[in-house]
Amino acid sequence: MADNGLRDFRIQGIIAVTLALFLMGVTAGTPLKSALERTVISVLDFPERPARLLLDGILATGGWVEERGSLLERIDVLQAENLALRRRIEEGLIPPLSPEKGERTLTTRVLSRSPLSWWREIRIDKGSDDGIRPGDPAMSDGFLIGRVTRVESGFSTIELLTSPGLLIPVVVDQTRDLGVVAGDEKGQVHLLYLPVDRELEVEMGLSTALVSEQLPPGIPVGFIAAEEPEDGAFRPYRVRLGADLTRLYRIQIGISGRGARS
Amino acid sequence: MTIALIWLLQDLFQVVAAETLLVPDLFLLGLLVFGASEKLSPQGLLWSAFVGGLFWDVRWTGLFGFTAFLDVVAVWFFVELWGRIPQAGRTPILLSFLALGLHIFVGLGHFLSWAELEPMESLFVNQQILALPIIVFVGWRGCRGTRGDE
Repeated sequence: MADNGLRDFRIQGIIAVTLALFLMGVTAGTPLKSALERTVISVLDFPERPARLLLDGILATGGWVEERGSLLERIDVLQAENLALRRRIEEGLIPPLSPEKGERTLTTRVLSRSPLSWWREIRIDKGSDDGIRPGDPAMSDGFLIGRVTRVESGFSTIELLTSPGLLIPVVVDQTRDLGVVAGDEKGQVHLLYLPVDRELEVEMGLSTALVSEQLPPGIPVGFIAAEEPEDGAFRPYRVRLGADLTRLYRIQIGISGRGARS
Repeated sequence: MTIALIWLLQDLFQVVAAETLLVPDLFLLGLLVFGASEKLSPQGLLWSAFVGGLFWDVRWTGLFGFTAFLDVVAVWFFVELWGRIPQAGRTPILLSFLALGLHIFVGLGHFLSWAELEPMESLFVNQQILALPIIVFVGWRGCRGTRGDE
């Protein structure tokens, strides 16, 4: 390359590097970023469709043996739960259960997960066109992973349990103690507001509690993993989530038959 | 146009492999072939790297400008170094080693940007291993183009 050409190239290199660094600095978390993401994902949706179909085909044929074992195990657990519920209905302890009109689960695919907000949120490929509304619960392997926060026509954003902004009221299955789970944005989730005199044990289960309109009650969340140092009159616990948040590819959204949740 | 198709090919591979792999950086390797065979001007390479990287950020990483930055730096380094090597020394092996180094550089940049490094280690290593045959192809194709023009 001639000297002039090389100098021109270097000047353009400096401009390109500066522009890239500038974009990194100014676009994070801005509406411009969301708008651009929406546009590019919408445009790529068409050429990517055959690839998605291929992936579905591969998974359907190759993964079914692996999935079958875990699904059978899950069916056993659900059957046992179903039997226990039916027994309680027969005994008149709880009224007969029937899904509300329009209530269902919808399987979606994770479209993107930004390294910058890895433990905070994910974007999925279904939106209001598919019946998703803000507040709907998001689940993986039958366990809660978060809650829908933003919904567009073809995409939605889910705030994960590991986000510090998502406080979920839960109940300890074995003791019926109420607490709140909150994330620390570093991959850990903690159970808060349990008095120090409560005796909770490791591996006790946690489910969503019927203390708010945020989420339906009874969705499994995870298990108590360890005690943490006392904080005044309360003792926090470390929580082991039932779902593996490091491997989120397909997730289920609980579509309610009612209006948007608060 | 070809470079845009290579970008799209990488995107489609990543969609198919999203649950298991990070696909090799076909776009960057494509740029190196175009650069070595002088089918694109250095300036064209630079801005193609910028635009392709930016689109990759919008689609996959969520950090606008990050891949664009890595790709531009890689291409810049390549142009500077490749331009200093006499024609006789521009061998497929040398180009392959250069492509490998730059592929590791960009892959490492992405790897270090992940919040949780441990689960990503195997993805990073697999990405580099999968890239090896393509890197050999880059060496062969990039140098063949140059000699064909001579």
